[in-house]
Amino acid sequence: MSDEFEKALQRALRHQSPGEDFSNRVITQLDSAAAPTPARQRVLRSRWLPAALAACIIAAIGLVQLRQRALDAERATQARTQLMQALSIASDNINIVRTAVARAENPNS
Amino acid sequence: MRLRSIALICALLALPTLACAAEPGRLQLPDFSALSKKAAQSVDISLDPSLLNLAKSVGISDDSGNGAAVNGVIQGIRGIYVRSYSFDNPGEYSKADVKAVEAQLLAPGWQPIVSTHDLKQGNNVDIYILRNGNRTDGVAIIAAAPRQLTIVNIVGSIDLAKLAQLQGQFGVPRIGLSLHGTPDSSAATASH
Repeated sequence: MSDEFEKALQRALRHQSPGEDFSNRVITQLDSAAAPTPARQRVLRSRWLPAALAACIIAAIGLVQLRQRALDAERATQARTQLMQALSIASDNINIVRTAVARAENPNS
Repeated sequence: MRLRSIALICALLALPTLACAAEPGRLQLPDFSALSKKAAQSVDISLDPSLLNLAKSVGISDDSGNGAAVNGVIQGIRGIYVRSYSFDNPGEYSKADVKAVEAQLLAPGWQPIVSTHDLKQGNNVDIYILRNGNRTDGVAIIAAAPRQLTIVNIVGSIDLAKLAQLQGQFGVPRIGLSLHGTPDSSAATASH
C-alpha cells in the first residue's frame, strides 16, 4: 500500500524539463504584464490629462494675479508720487500768496 | 428703432462728460498739449477718486515722516488736477489759455479768496474756492508768471493753512513760481 503510494508520488514528482523556450515564454509574459494595454493607457490618460490641464490653468491664473498685483503696486506708487507733487505745487503757490499778503499788510517787516 | 439706437449711443457717449460736470468743484481743464510741447518743464497730474485711493493705499508720508499731517490734509480730497508749464522765454502762453479756466470760476458758488499781483515781475496768483454752505467743494489756484503757468484744481475740502504748512516737505522737485520781488514790487489784495 505504502509502496504504491510512494511510487505514485515519485511519478508525480519526477523531473521534467521545462523546454527550450521556457525562458522566452517567461520574458514574453513579463513584458505583456508590464506594458499597459490600450484600454489601460486610455484610463491613465483620462485621469492625468484633466489634472495636468487644471494645474496649468491654476498656475496661469496665479501668474496673471501676481502680474496684476505688481502692476497695481506700480500704479499706486506712481499715483502717490503724483499726489505728493500736486500737493507740493499747491502748497508752494499758497505760500507765495501768503508771503505776498503778509508783505502787503506789513511792508516794513 | 434706429433712432433709438443712435439716441442710446449718444447718451452713453455723453455720460462721462455729464459725470464730470456733475462733480462739484471739478473744473474742465482745457487741452494744454500745445503748451506742453513748448514748455521746458511740464507737469500734468490728474488724480481722480480711484487713483487717489490707490495713492493712499501705499501710505502717504512727507520727508519728515509726518504722514499724519499729510493724511489730515488729503482726507477730504476727492480729486486733484494740476497743469504746470515752465517756459524758457516769456510770453509763450496766451491769456486765452487762462481765460478758459477763469470763465468757469465765474459760475455760482466759486469765490475768489486771495489774489496777488506782482506788477514788477508780472506774477499773478489767484485762489478761488467753491463753497456749499460751510463746506468747501473745491479749490482752484491759477498762478501765471511770464515764464510759467500753473493751474491747480482740488476737488473736495482741504485746509489751505495746513497745506501751506507742508511746503517743502514732500520730497519732490519743485517747479513752483518764484516770487522773489522786493516787498515794494508786490501788490497783494486779499478778500474773504
